Amino acid sequence: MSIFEDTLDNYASNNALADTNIYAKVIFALGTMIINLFAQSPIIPILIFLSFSSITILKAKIASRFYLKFISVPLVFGLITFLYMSLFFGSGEQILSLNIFNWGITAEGLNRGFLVLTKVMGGFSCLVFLALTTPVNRLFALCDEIHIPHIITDIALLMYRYIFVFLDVTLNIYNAQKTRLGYSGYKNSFQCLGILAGLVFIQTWEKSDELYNTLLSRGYTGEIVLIHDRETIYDLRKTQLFLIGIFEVALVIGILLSGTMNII
Amino acid sequence: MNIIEAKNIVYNYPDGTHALKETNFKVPKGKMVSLLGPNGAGKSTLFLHFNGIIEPTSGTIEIENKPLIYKKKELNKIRQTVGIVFQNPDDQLFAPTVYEDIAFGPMNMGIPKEEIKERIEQSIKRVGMEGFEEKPPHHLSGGQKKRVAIAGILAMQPKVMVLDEPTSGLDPKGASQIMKLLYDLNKEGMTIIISTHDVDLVPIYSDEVNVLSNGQIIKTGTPQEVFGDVDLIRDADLRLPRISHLFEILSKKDHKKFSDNLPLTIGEARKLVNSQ
Repeated sequence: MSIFEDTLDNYASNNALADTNIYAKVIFALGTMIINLFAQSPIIPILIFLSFSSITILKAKIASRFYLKFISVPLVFGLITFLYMSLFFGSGEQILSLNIFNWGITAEGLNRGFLVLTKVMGGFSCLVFLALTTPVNRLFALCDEIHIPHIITDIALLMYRYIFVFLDVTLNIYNAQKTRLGYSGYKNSFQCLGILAGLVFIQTWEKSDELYNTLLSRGYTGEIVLIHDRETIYDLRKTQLFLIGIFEVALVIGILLSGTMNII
Repeated sequence: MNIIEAKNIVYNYPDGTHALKETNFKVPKGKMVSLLGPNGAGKSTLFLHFNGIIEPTSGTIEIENKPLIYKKKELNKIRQTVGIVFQNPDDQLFAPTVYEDIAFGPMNMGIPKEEIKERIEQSIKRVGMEGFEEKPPHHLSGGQKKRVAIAGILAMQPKVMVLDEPTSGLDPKGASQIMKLLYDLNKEGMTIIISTHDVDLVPIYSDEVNVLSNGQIIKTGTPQEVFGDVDLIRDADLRLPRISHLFEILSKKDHKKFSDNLPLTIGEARKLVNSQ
């Protein structure tokens, strides 16, 4: 159990915003993410990033260390993009020349790179907010309610559950291999990894047979119908919707006002 | 009345192995019946016949004296009558939360939502898992998963509950909790069938014991009758309950005289010793 304690899944079901209306969270996060895409200046994406990060950490009470670790992955990608774009995108006069192959940083490239970086982080903070505060079963219920085809949600549901089963299976086989001196050399490691992958595949195959039997035993007829007795879209309070609306409108106005304001 | 009766069941695996050879198996209504057999005897295969998951190569299964018809609609009805709890709860629990998993069976039965909720609450209470409703299955221990798996079947309110090795992999306390639960359910009128090779638990809880060996039922009777045939039990790669073994040694090696049959449980042994 303990290896699952510090995971996204655990935070998703144990945070201060877990019981907030899911529609409010989805509209809030997705709406902001879409508005974020239209930004032409880094100001609004930075604001989005800061506000969503503080909501996630301060309101939802997600451990800040975990959050930083989580957000550092896209940050690294964002920084690489930033570097790449400022070097190779944009034309015009170089403000800093590297003196190799005529490479250099242009003002246009720098601006564009920075905009992309902030947009990535802004959008990602919305996504992380949703991922860290919403228990996955609610997301499935939401998918059901907005009529996403059953075949998709059913498969997603089973995949989600069996991630953890196969994590266990993989870990057990891996430990068994190591116990008998697997992974002790370069060639040996490759061999062991191959065997591990093969075995896990066979296990998935067998488990799927078993699962099918157990589902049949409980009256499965080709569709997984889950019980939804949680909030619906009609439970969305007007005040919630109103506040989200104000926030989004403010962002749109912000985008219009900031125009193409850039760092240089 | 026999609630489940298997008549001359033959089942061959696709590779030609004979899993069951002319197996006959009867379950009287309201009883708690054990199916005892070593690994690979065919216990799980036999169980999968009881709700039509597998169709026998030849022979018939009768549920409540009616032969099983292998049609979707009929099978769905049978699966509401005969609930199977599988050996590995990880194969059975698939939903993101305990609550949703228990709801799955009743949802498929198409009963009203209010009743479903009531059934879920009852079953959760029954197995003692209150407070775990919103937990995902992978945050539960083995014993807890087993109890949720049982609750998922209980919520369907079957007449017969079939459990494949309900105590395997559980610690002693977890195992006896499960057995106690099954015992209580049986007292309330549910027919219970369990497969096991835990011979110490069998005589405590079972009304009737069947020994399955090499795809055939080789002995049926009360625990006293079945364990009385010591040679048969040992030939089937099983053993006597520890307490009986002790009394066997006491009478054979130490020449202590005991009037009765070998006692099978601690209670019986106590009575026997005190009466001497």
